[in-house]
Amino acid sequence: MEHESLKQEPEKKTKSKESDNVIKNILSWVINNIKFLLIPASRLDDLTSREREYEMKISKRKFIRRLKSTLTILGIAIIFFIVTLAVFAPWFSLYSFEHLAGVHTGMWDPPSPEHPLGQTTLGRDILGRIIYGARASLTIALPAISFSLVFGVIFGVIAGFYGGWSESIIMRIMDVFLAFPGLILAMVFIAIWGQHIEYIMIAYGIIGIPYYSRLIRGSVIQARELPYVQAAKVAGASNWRIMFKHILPNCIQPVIISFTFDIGGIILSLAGLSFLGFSDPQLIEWGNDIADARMHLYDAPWGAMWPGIMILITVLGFMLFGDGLRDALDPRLRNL
Amino acid sequence: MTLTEKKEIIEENRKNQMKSAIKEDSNLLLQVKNLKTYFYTEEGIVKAVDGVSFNIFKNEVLGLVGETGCGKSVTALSILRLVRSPGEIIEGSIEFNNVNLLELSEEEMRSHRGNDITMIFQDPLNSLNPVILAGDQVAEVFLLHQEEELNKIIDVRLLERDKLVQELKELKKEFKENKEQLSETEKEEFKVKIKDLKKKIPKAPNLKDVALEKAEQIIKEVGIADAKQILKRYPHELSGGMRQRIMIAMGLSCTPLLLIADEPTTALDVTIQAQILDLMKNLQKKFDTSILMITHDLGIIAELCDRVAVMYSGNIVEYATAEDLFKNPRHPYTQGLIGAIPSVEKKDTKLTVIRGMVPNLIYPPSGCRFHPRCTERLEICDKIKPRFLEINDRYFIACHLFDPEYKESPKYQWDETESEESYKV
Repeated sequence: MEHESLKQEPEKKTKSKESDNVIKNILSWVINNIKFLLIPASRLDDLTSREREYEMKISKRKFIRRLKSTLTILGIAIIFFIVTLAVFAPWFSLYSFEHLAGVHTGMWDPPSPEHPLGQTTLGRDILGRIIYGARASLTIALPAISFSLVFGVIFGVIAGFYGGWSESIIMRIMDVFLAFPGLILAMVFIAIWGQHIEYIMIAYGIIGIPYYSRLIRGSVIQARELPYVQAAKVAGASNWRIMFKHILPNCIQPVIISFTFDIGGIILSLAGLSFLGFSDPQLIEWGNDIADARMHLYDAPWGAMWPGIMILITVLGFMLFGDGLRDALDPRLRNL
Repeated sequence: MTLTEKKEIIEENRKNQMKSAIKEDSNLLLQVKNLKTYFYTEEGIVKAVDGVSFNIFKNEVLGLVGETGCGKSVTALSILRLVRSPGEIIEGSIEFNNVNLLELSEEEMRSHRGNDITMIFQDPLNSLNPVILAGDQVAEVFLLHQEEELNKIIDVRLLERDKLVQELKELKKEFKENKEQLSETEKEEFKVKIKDLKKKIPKAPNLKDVALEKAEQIIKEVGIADAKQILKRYPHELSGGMRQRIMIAMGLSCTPLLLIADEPTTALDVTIQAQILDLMKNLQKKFDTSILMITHDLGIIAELCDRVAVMYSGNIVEYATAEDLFKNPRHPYTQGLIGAIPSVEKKDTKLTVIRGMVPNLIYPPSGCRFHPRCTERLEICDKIKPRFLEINDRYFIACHLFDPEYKESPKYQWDETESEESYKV
């Protein structure tokens, strides 16, 4: 209730003054307290929770603050830019998807008002293709990496927690997967099942599993000996509950960091695969474009340059963000 | 009579003695019989607990004292069946309310843990999960063991809520029907009524909220005033004493029959220690819980415990009421322990020290395990393991000095140079 009285205070005071000031005061109060109005805790009856929010607000040691290094912000901005391009591709592009995948006149034409970044070998608009290319990169990279994250974490936690023969079996299978180079396995998958985007995703997803399971297994082995795990056992929690509710949240941090790094890596290897001609030719994809333009580097440099720049900044963006995230999450680097 | 025959007879005697020592009692809560927990390490078999027997009655505080590494904590973990590999309980029985815990399946054991038997650990700073809110951790115990009761509470509340909702509906209906006939003031009154009723109707309760409410109650119980705030704190935002209180709250949340406290105050400073001990004393009376207090601090034992079991090198050597034991300690080891407490009066005199070192548990000394360090040692001591005898009412001791059978045995003469050396070591 105290909170409500606070809310009414400025109104009461201003009633005596002129009517202009009333609105002004109310507005300024709302602007000053907008954070408290938006967070759910401030609507609680007791004031203390609001006070706590305030303390947290003025406290300088915050996660967001530690994320605020220039390079990290640059990384976030790049990711935001790429994601925006991917999501709103039809709005940014001057041509439709069908047009960009069709055959037109104007082979390797230089930039012109109709085609700001020039045209490709079949007269397709390069600007439109690099905008739609963001879609392909993200739609392959994110599911693939999520697939390997989920299964890698599950296998890693089980192996780390139980130890013994279950650990040996899981980790040896992981070692076998680790022996396959990702690019070559993807090529094999494509050779078997044809050039479909789904198989590329699955290939990269499977290749990522052992990295995540190894990463998390190490942390789980460390964490399972800690007193709080013993305490959870004493409280009567089941093994699965201990694994995924008590241990996993304590070990997930390196995985999150690795996740952001690996998105860049997957985009890069996807471009490599396309460059070698192993991806769906119908797909509008940066690597495809570079592969097309590699014979014409001298007479039409724009053909390879722009997709190349897009790959560069996308990977750079994810890497910078991952770097910043690691700095922010790692307690040993808290001198920021 | 050959030596082996004699040994057999003695062993049998010992077992019989043990049976009589642990008398049948309706008040009996936990009965540990001849518990043996061994660790199969690469260096050999570590006999951490080697034939321990004791019992805990309802509403009793039993203290378990001993040096570091004498098997106190392993005994506690054995009761909860949480001994980690390579440790193994190889013999004995642990009867809790006439159920042998060692014969239960893991699933059944889990329903006992946290519910009937709980444990508080030495290190409150690390025993709480750093990434889970304190309130959630306490609430988890309720969710694990008292789901039915929580559901009952929810049902009752839902009924109440339904009533209020029904009332509100009727009021609104009435308002709509009579809208045209009412005057302005009456309308206002109606609106105020509806508003009040709306405020009265609580949110639909869910399982976690109810568990959190219960957690808040129990946290208040352990002496934290602003419990509502503490619920939303992470463990690193709490002080050591607070964390130990939260641990105690977690332990007591399902009103267990037995609480095992493994050196609960070791990591805390003295004033907080006193508070925590006070709290445990009060809560023990309030919740009718038995406590197994594991400690090496004899002060805590004197303060809190009804009875004391002194452990040495995997065996219980003396087991008596706290009063008897402190007034008149009989076993040489207990005498040594009590003599080693520093005090202001004895400032000028040298502290009494028990000679020698804690024995290696892989190759324990033959006979009485204390004989290499014992000042009162008899000739027989290194040959035959002492029996666990009841020499007074509920006063058990494992020492040849008090065994009538070996009264005649001559006293062992310590080689003075040897003892000097052992002091140096």
